[in-house]
Amino acid sequence: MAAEYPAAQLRLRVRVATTEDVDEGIDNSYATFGIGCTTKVRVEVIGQEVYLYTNGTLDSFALLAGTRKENTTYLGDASPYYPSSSQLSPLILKQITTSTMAAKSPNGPLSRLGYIRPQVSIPKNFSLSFALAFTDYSPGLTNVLRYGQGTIDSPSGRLAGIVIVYRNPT
Amino acid sequence: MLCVVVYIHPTGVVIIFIATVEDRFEMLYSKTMLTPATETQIRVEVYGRDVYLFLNNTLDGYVQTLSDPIAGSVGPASLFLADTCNPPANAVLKSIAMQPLSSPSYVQQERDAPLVPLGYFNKTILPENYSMSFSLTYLGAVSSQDYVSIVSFRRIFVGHSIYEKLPGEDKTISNSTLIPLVVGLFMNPNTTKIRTLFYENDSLERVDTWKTLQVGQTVQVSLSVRASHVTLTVDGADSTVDLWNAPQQHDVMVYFSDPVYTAASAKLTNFRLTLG
Repeated sequence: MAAEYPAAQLRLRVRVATTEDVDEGIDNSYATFGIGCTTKVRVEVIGQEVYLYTNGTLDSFALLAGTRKENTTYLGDASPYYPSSSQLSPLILKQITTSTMAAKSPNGPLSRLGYIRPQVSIPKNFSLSFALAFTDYSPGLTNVLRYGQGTIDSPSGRLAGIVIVYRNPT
Repeated sequence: MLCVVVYIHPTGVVIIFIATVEDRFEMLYSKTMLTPATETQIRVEVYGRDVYLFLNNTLDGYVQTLSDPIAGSVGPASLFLADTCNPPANAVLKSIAMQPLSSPSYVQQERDAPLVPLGYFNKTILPENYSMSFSLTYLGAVSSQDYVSIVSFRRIFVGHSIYEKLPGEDKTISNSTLIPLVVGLFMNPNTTKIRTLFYENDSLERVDTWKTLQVGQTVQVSLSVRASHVTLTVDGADSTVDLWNAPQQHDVMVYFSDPVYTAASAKLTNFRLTLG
């Protein structure tokens, strides 16, 4: 099975069943998984927020459209339909009251997904302000912030959204 | 969008994307290029279709979007610093705040005040035939090796509202589809004469007046465009040119003065634009 896919394309999907869709969540992890490598994976789910961490770093985020279905269920190490060629251990499921991301501050050096604030209301007319000091040039477009729903490429990815980027030397 | 960087030095330009009901990629570019290690206060105001960009509390850019920005009733969004669509900027960001806006903070200047970039701006449709007139009081020289601006008409592109610096006549126009200027009245570099520049179909053409302005002098300026026939008049002295490329109809922003160029040291009053 694994031989059919290049190692660089091995990514995680996180699926969550909600009142809107039984198949919501994070479609593809940013990180890829090499064959024979061990990756520490953590998924945090707070309300409609889903966070995927790989090796302690936030990898992906999704805000669910519906409410999660909560019920007594069973825990298995793989879907009975598509078992992956992998080993899994240790597996820990515990209750949390707040996400790791909630403790982060919006101030500081920018890093990929360094800060996420879900459930922000965008007034029809608004003033958005911040102080920015860039420390070095980068090739190509680099991102500062975005307000939006879902991923940047989704149909609503830039709804109510502003993306501010630098345009750098080309 | 990277193909339009030819005439602006690209370092540190801020680009703002505004999602509207018809286009997720309407844009506003900053005129000012940020420099490393210098903290800049950035403020974006969105009021209806009006988008204002302030850098250090000075209006740096403005655009009127072509359709309504999607905001207000779309449900909760998420704020991402920085997102995954591009690598994160090498930057430190502080004190982010979003507040409702009851009215835009920028008030356009009084008509009898000296020209400043973005002092006045308005959206209009510039047809093939039009005329404009105004009184111009010349206040003195401006230290600039480039054109200094009086009035500009800059094209609004469908989906993308941008302004790029006008290329000088000695420069190559490498991307003709994104030349933004339609008409610009400038002071000719190192002179006190008025020059009008036209862009159409990849081509830059100019109409010069030979009347030299004196400090403190007020002159009556008019420009008449009838298809390719152009007449620039300063205090009754006409300069007439037949353009190679007849002007076409464009959606434009009228600026006095131009958002990119240094403003001429002058006052502009009694501005009148007659369309058709």
